[in-house]
Amino acid sequence: MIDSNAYVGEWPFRRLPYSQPGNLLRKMDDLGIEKAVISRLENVFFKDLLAGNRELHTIVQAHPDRFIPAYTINPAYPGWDEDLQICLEELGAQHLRLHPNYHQYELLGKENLRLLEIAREHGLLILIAIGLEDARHHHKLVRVPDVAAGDIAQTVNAFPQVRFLVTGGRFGEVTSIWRSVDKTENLYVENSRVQGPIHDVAKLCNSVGPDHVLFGSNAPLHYHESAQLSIETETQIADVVKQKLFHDNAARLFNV
Amino acid sequence: MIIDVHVHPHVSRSLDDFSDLIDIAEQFDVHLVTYSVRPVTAPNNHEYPTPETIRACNDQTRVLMERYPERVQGFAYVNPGHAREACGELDYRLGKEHFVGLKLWVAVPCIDPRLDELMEICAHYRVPALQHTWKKATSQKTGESPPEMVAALARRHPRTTIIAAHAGGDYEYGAKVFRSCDNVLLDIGGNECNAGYVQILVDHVGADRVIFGTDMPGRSFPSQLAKVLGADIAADAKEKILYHNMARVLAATKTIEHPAVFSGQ
Repeated sequence: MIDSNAYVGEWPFRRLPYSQPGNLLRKMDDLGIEKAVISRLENVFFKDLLAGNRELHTIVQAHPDRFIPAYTINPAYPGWDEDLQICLEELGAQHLRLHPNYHQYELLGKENLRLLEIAREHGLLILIAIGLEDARHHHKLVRVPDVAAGDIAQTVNAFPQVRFLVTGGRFGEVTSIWRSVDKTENLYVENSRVQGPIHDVAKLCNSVGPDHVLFGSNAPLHYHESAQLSIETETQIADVVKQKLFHDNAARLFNV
Repeated sequence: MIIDVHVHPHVSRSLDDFSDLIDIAEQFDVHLVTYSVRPVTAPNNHEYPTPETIRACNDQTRVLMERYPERVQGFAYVNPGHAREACGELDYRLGKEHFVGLKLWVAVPCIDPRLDELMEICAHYRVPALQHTWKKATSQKTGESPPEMVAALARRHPRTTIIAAHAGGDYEYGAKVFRSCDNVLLDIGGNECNAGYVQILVDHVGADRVIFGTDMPGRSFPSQLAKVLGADIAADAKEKILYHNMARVLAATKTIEHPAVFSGQ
């Protein structure tokens, strides 16, 4: 199994089990998860994302066979382009994580257009985090709505050569994006926050196609078991499809 | 065996679609505690339902109880705003049709005194009253009860077992509010599978007062089951949450002849 959407680090609002590399790896071992794509969770709130990205690089260097880094960039913050160059040249970045809602910028704003142009030039995979947890549970000082599905669809339409993985989308958001995208070849989704309706994974495969759905946990904010059981116990998809969701699609997308 | 205390029939579709949920119940060996809050014939304008709509909802639940007696028990849904009519409806469904609980949603806030007689009827039949409750960072629905109101209801009616749906919505908040309410059980259904969800509840109210629910079909069964399976709590605590706690409640009801499955042992 490859977990296409996870984080390492602490969260300001509650203690998270499996937040640190050691206990995350033990959990992955328990569940048979071979590799995980991880970003630094603190980079949702840090201003200097390069600091978090360097920490992520160190974590990944210690476990290169288990972790795949997705470095976080905030194009609304000064110096992002120089930080990105460092991520590309020193840290070997191949995948970037965006949090347009927490970092408060427009996906099709001027600076992010520049970022996506760089992604196109370098063949980078872009992970767009729609949301991280149920907005109804947010701390009253930090209420962050999910990224609008329409904004993501427009962004995908504007950059048909860039590969996008939409993370943390709920069923309705993911299917809405899919319906609004002109060319879906480079668009992928994962199932961490697709936690309903019943038979959600099968319905997602029917809507999006089994080659574009990946297993993702959103750990440590969510338990891995939700996304894992949702695929493993789904009676309406074949085992060969489960293999794609658990492994093959991610292996292809992340070049592992 | 698992008891799922929070299941709805599909809305806006045929009642026959409930067979999808029965298939899931067979797959995971689950008993479905079911209640309708909107009939398939009138899926809109349901938050303050008329007496006719209420009867249609409960008729729908009764059909499912009769169709799937091995898998389905029903809670009766009423609108306390109808006062005596609501009491009559509840008494009839419990006394004559073997419903095993009361479901309350958002028709009125649960501090409304018109709930008092409903709670006494539940105590008489020894059935639980499940009250929707949700503390939200976003906007509340009109008539939606925050956990504090449910706690007040429970303190006013200590002989009645109250089930706080969704563990209060914001479950961390609910864990604190309900900590000292011994007659309140916390239903974990309907939220995302946040890491630590069940552990926080067990830490604050104890494993004996946490019960399993899903809110199917809006939520998937695996995502809700994962809240328990993923929790770092003892195996016997998981068994209590998934089965024994609710089995004990159902075994105490006076409205049904109890199948062995609800022995509570």
